[in-house]
Amino acid sequence: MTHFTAFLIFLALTPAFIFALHCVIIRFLRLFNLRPTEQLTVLACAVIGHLPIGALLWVVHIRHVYTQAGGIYTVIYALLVYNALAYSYFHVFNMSDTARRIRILYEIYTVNKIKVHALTARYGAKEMLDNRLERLLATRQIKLIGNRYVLDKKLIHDISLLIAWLGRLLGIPYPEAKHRAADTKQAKTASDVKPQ
Amino acid sequence: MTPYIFLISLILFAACFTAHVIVWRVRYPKNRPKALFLTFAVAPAVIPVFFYAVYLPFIAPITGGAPYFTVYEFLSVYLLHYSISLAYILSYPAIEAVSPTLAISLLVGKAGADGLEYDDILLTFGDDFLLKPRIQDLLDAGLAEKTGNYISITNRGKRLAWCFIQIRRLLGLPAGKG
Repeated sequence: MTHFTAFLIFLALTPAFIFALHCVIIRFLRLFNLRPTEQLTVLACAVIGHLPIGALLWVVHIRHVYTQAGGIYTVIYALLVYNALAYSYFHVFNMSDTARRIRILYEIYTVNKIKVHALTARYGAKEMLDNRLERLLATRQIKLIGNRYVLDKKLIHDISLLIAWLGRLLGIPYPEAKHRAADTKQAKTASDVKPQ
Repeated sequence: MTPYIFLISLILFAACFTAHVIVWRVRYPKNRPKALFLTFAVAPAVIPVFFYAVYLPFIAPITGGAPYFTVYEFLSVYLLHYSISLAYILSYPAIEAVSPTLAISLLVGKAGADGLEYDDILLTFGDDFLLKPRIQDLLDAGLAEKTGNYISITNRGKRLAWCFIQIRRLLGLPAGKG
């Protein structure tokens, strides 16, 4: 096996490395009784993972690249592949944590057979909403002022705009949610306006 | 490593993405995961097969052997292409199935400085919007089946649920909240 083949294989194994790092970091944080959100922990693992994986790739291949330009291109290539795969790992982990389909599947798995209304009692819209609001507040994407939720940091909001744009590009009708919410707000505003 | 690796990977991904947009707009596929897999993974794999089975033995002798790609160049291009494609494919469900997290963020953003009350948000996201379409997805994907009023899990569904349970067990985490 050439060192370049080893470089590509190690790079392709990035998700496995991040998973191993994730297992270690979760236990390490527990030792110190630190409890950041699960999403933040995965992001931290992906960022920290640059160091050990970068060092490994340096040893197996990058230090053997004899031209400066070749070395720079190799580093850029490794960064692109590593971050794309780290992002993919983040999504797979997120599915295990936040995906409604996986949670519903898990609920059915634990009882083997369930009535639809019993399923909604075990995992209904209110619980789904509470979980998401809790995560958005914990990651400071929204904040609570009085009894109203307002936007805080804009990262998730900007990602939402990108996703909505991709949906329009693909011709997928964007869900009713946005429009329904706007209608709700308008209806509420109208009912709040008292006649003079 | 040469800049051509980046250029070819980018062209390959852009070609797959364009094909994906065209297919989705012309005829929205019924089985989207399969269509995505065919577009981003199977279709690009035809190029090296063509290169080794048709180009090298029949066309290269006429053109004097140019252009030529080594196995390493193909591997580099495909690793980059598949990494980016995987990232896109895993992001795709958020576009189609409407991630409630993203939708909440849009709603709150749209409300501006006035913000939204809890009940306003809850009114928008009922069981009909959040739960029932996802149950239907599981039925369509053959991960669950409906018999009368009951929903049960299929063997395929059990395998998938088991995988996610094991991932979280290895991480030392309880089952996801959803």
